[in-house]
Amino acid sequence: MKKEKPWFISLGFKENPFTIKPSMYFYELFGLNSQLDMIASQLKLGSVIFIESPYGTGKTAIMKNLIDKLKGEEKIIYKSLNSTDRSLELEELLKGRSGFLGWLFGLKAKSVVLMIDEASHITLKDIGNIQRFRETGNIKSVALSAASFDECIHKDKLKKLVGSNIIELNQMKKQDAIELVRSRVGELEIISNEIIEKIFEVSSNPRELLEKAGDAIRNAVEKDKQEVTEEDIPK
Amino acid sequence: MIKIEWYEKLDFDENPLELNPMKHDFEPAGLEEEANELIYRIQAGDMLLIIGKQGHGKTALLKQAIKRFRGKGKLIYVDAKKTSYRLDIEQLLVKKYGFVRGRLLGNKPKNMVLLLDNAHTLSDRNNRLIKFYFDQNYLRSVIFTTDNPDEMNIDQSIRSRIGNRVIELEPISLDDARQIIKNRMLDEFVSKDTVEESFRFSEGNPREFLLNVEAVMSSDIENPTSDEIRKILKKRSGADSDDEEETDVFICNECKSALVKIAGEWRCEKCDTFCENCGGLVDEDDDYCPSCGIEFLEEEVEE
Repeated sequence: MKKEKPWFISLGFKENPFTIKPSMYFYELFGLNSQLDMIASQLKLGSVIFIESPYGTGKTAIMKNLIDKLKGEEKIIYKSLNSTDRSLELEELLKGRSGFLGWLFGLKAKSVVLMIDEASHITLKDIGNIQRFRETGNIKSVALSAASFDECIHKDKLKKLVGSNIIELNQMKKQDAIELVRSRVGELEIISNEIIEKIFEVSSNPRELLEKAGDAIRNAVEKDKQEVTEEDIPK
Repeated sequence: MIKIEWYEKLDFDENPLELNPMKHDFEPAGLEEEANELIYRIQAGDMLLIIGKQGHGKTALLKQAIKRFRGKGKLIYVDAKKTSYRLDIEQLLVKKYGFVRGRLLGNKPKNMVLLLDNAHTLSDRNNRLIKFYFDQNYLRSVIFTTDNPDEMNIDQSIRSRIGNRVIELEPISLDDARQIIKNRMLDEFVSKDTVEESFRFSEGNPREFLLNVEAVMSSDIENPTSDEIRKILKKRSGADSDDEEETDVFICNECKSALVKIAGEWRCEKCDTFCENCGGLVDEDDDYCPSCGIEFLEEEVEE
């Protein structure tokens, strides 16, 4: 077994700068800031929004950014249908969010902004409860996100809740791609903006872009090259 | 009367042909590149899928990662096929570090490496937990192995994170087989014929190769001839091995052309010198085949 250091260590990084874990880079957004603002104001006004975007394009990041944006002014409940059993337990959530006295008296919070990540398998019961609590004023607005609206299990019922408010996240542009890579590696010379553009031409999905950029630099470093060339870019 | 194992007769305390990589520390052969890739993916904090048929070395490959990273308390190895309790990733982390649902006690179990062997039947819940914990870096890296990627119950969101990070294990070569015997300190004891015949009957599957060698070594015949070896191995694989439908294509390690099957043996028409009658390997200056005795006329010897 070779005991060589991985390329990012030899280039002076402590960790792989092209990690695809959203939590490692503070849920950065590229090219999505205007949509972020738009969605945030809609949530303040009381809409139900469905955020639809393929894997690797920033759904989790946008949710986290929305939370940061709205935190001070709104009461937020965030749930990823990934990290728990599929049922939301909305009533319990609302009671938990009503402060100490509220909890004491079993009261539910009012005017909550509800944010649900990985919402494709949301249950009929929960969709019903969301509707119910909107009518009673406990829930003000809702943001749901998933890779595809059509693949939601109960999309008919969901359509009644969401209406036409299905938002597709903007596709990343070339300049965003360069910004994204530079935010990870700075002005690192081994990879030029031209090469980043070339990678973007093949993979405009942010997650894929990061993966390919990392592999491209790895290939160059393992061949002892000073610069990444096109042949280093994985197919 | 206590039976003396074949390896005890050779002064080994333990079976040098032990199959389970978790029970021995022998180096596998033909997996160096794959091991380097696996180790890199763990260092880089990626997800990775290892695809390989049964016996081709998935667990042996994971063992290389275990050897490299063990001792730091960061590894979790699970054989999803063998867990008698219903596998629950959260429970695993609880057990490992007192990680309580939603809240963490003292030591945060960040940067754990999860090795999921035979990950065919991952439950919905586990799918979700793996994605969540990976995104939050509680799981630094997740390595899945399978023999059939199409039948894996893995969320699209996880497949997206795996991306192209896939290792496919290939059949081993005869050289690899020889290396395995060397790595297990057996080259003095296992005859050349045994190695070659065992390899031939294995179709490049390392586990089959080892089982074949063991069948020969543990037989009652001391120093068996090629014929006797073949008899033992035919018996082991069952008489209908020739009737098996061949759906696999094997490739010559040297010239990369497809191997042909001659009388049950895989041969490369370009690189191997073999007898057309029985498929046995022959030397170029042999007048007759040492395996089946057929006489060679000048033009019949394949080169």
